[in-house]
Amino acid sequence: MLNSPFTRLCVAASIISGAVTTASFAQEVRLIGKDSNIDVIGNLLSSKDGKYLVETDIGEFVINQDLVTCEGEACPTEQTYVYDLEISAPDEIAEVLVPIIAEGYAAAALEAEAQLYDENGEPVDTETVDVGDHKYGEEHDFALQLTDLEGDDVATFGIHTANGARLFERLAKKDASIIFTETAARKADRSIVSESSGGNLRDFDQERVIAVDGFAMIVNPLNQIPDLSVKQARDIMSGDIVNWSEVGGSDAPIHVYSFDPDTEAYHHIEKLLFKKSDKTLTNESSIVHDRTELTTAIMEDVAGFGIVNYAAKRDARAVPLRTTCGIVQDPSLFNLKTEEYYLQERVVAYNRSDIDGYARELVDFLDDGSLDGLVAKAGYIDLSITSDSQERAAERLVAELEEGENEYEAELVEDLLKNMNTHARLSTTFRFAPGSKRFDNKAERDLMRMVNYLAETKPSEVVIVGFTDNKGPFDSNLLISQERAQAALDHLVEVATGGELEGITLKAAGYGELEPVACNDSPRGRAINRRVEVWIAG
Amino acid sequence: MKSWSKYAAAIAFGCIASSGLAQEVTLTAKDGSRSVTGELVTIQPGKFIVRSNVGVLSLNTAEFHCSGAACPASLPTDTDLVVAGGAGLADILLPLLTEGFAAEQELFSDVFDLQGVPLGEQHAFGQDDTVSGAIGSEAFDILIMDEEASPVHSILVKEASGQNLFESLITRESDLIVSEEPVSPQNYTQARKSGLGELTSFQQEHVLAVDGYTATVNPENDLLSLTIEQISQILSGEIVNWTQFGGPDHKINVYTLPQNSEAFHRVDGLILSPFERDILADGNIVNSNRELSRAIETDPYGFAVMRFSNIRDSRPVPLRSECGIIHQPNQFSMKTEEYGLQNRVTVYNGSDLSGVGAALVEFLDSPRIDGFVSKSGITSLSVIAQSEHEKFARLKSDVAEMTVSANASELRSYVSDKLTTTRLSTTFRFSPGSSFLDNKAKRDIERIAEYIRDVEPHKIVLAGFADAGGSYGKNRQLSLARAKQVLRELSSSMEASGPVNTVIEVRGYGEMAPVACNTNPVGRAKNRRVEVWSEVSSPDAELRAWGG
Repeated sequence: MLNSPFTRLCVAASIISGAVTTASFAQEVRLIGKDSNIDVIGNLLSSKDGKYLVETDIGEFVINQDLVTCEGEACPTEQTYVYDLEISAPDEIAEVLVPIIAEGYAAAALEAEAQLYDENGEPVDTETVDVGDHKYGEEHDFALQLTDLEGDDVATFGIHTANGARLFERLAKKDASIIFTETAARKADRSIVSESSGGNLRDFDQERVIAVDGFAMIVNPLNQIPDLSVKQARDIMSGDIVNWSEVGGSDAPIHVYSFDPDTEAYHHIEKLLFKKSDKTLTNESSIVHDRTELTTAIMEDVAGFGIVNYAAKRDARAVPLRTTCGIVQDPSLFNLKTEEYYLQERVVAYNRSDIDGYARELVDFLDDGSLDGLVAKAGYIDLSITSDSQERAAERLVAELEEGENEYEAELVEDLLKNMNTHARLSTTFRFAPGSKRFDNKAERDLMRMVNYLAETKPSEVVIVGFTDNKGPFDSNLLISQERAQAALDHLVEVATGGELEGITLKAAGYGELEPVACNDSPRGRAINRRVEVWIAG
Repeated sequence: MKSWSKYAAAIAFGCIASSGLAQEVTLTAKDGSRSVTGELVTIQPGKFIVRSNVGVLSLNTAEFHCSGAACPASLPTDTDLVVAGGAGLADILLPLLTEGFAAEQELFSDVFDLQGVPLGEQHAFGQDDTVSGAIGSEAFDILIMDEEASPVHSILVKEASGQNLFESLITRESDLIVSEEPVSPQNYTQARKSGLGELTSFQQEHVLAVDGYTATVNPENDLLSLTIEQISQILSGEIVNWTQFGGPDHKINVYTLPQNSEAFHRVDGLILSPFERDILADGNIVNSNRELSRAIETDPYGFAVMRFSNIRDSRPVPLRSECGIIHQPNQFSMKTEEYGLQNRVTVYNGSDLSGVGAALVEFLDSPRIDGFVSKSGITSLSVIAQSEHEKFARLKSDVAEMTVSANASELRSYVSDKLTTTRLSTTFRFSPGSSFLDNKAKRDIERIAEYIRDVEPHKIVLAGFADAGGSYGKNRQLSLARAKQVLRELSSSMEASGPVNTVIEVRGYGEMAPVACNTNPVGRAKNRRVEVWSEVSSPDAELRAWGG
């Protein structure tokens, strides 16, 4: 592998980190705060991961490089290697999803191959990398080398890992022109980007939901515990629940397997379970170092429990999730695609508005039909459309019908049930802001997917079905759901300008707050219930 | 009313989005006398709400010190805003409107009782009224929270109606009131004396919606129409048999809500009081809107008056005015304010409103509230088009009723305009003899401007009309002046957003085509109007309105 691009990358990487040239002998530097009154003089011991380590009279300090300017001969020199495109993403995405997408892009657009290198110049195998051991919050540099069939350089993309708000900072500072994130842009994130003339991250061309990532609570297949709530999962992870009998299982101690609390893999679980809680991972847990180790441990331990990405659960049994109001959600691919399962996140790509060249082409490629296959290959859940027979949902409705005391609702439920039995539901589900019937960027792209799907599969009938949350009177919700469905149907017809819907009977229906798929007791649950589904027959 | 109550879980914790607050804390009295450990449900202005093993406790923030990871860094200081209004109105509207207000700022809202227990859907006022007979003492809190479920603002919504409503504003017990009645001259004067400013000014009076009522009968009853007086005669027991209206010889079974309910008071105010009649003694009393509509759905001889959004499968009866003009009980008639049984829903505030109250009122002034108003079951002011069927039915009766004074060319112009356009629900109204727009009309200008920007109709006709008082020629001039006034306001509102391809024309049709009887002041006020007629160039244009 000692060919020329490799050597050059190696040099480039060492300049970026600055470690090789300066770490061997300490020299005096002065660090001056850009926006604060930091002023430190000391010996620079190291400079890596975006931080300076300095030794001063009063001890050693670690200072974020972004916050200070470094003066002195020992300061690392400015990065000299210029990448053709800079991307930032959390570690898992940076090492797996981004290279696989970029590889797909390179093959399709440039007839080139791609190889990822880490900051030491070592090649990374994106298909086998398992990032369970990577620390949360650390920032690393990777380089993705694109070469043509003759082995000549085409381009090099820099991929810098970062988390949370740091990603948007990098976008605002033009350190990255594209970022991938599992946290949607907040107001503050959008405003720093627009202040840097990076455009509006809510624009259709700057925001793309490319995948969803779900988490499964996994147990040994011999453990037939019916379901667990999020709270129970939290209490198991924190050690407040220690025996399977406490959650409806047999009398056996629970063995918790987890990633190290410092890792990015654990951070996801913490965000979903322990958010703003003083609970932490139990000391009794066994620490695993990657996802394969986790699932292997669970497969070998009848009393084991762990939480892992849905796509990485392998043969372990994913336990259904019981919500606060008793709705049980199967961790199935279909439910994840509908975005009704609670333990899931979106993977969103954001780009600056002033992109061109490779960045422009890569962003356009994110709208390409071949993206879904690449997303699935990377172990994420793609947004391609699948259908479901609705048996589970219909069973639940029958149970409600038997309890129902109200004729008006009963009639509606019967009608709904009849349609559920004759129609399959598609995974594409449109969601709305409260009181709105406007489509967001994801919905607009889902609509285009659906037009293509319908053109290919040509069902005999498509019914657009509206539902609402339970705020407000039953009747106005019924009306709103019908209006939303009709509006969505009109919009579908408007988008399908190429005769894609010819020969398909199109209908709209609305059932108000009937058939909730999530609990109406929280804003998030209500958001999940405000939806328009797509049903097909024949 | 909800049969799916098992989904309306009373407790919000455990869900991911709201799990943040449900954490163990220890509250220790500052004098050291006692301490409580439990899950912190929420923090409200002045109190910690803790679920301990002895139940839910509300503890004063001034007297207790909070320790534990879930304790807030800073406490909400006080209730930010107090809103008062009647049952079936403020209690239904405010939670929905606040949700929209919060969502715009990327925040969330939820409803809690005064002890801090999440209320889910159970926040309607008056649920205990039928038992206790007491009106006017209920209240709940709406908390606006951030993503971490930490409170950002707190809004207290409390029940008040009639004279108490305006008194609570004047005495500054509340910052905003939601009223179904316009401010009376006495209350206006009193508010002014108390330093609250002018309640009729643009900044202090905000019409959010119209609340319409309709007489309903069983779907098999084909009764053509009723006047308001006839409805009052049925409700008071003066007309007791369906034969009076050409129906079968059977007693009219009148259903009403309890007399001490707010909903009954509204029906009383719209129908019975104006004719100085009282409700009959032997009516069938039901306890909920749902029971009321079900009674009519199942009783072929049933009769009831109910809020338009509650009718379900019962049949609304068209309303006939004393000069024979018939109004269909539908959303369009209510939005035009030509239908007889409706009230405006108006928010009033003092002139010194600031902070979250001012921001909320700004939101209330925007067409963005329309979706939330519709969700509450009250008719919003969003712009909708008249149905083709209704348009032709009305045109036919207009032409038949045209007075001899209307000459052929005027008639031709009117008919040709009508045939090429569709009337929009937004209608501008004026004081007698004037062309001044009221506060609602000024805000409706913005709605029409938005409609033009979204739909880009080929042409808009602003059609001015007058009441029948005064000479025919003078009324034509006056109606044209009114249309021109609307055009001026509309043009200045649209200037900011750049040029549009829509041609806007004005007409003055004088006293032609009345929408109400000119025999009384209320009818004449309805006739003094500018209608908006839209000529949409392509059939797809309305879809574009939605897409934007």
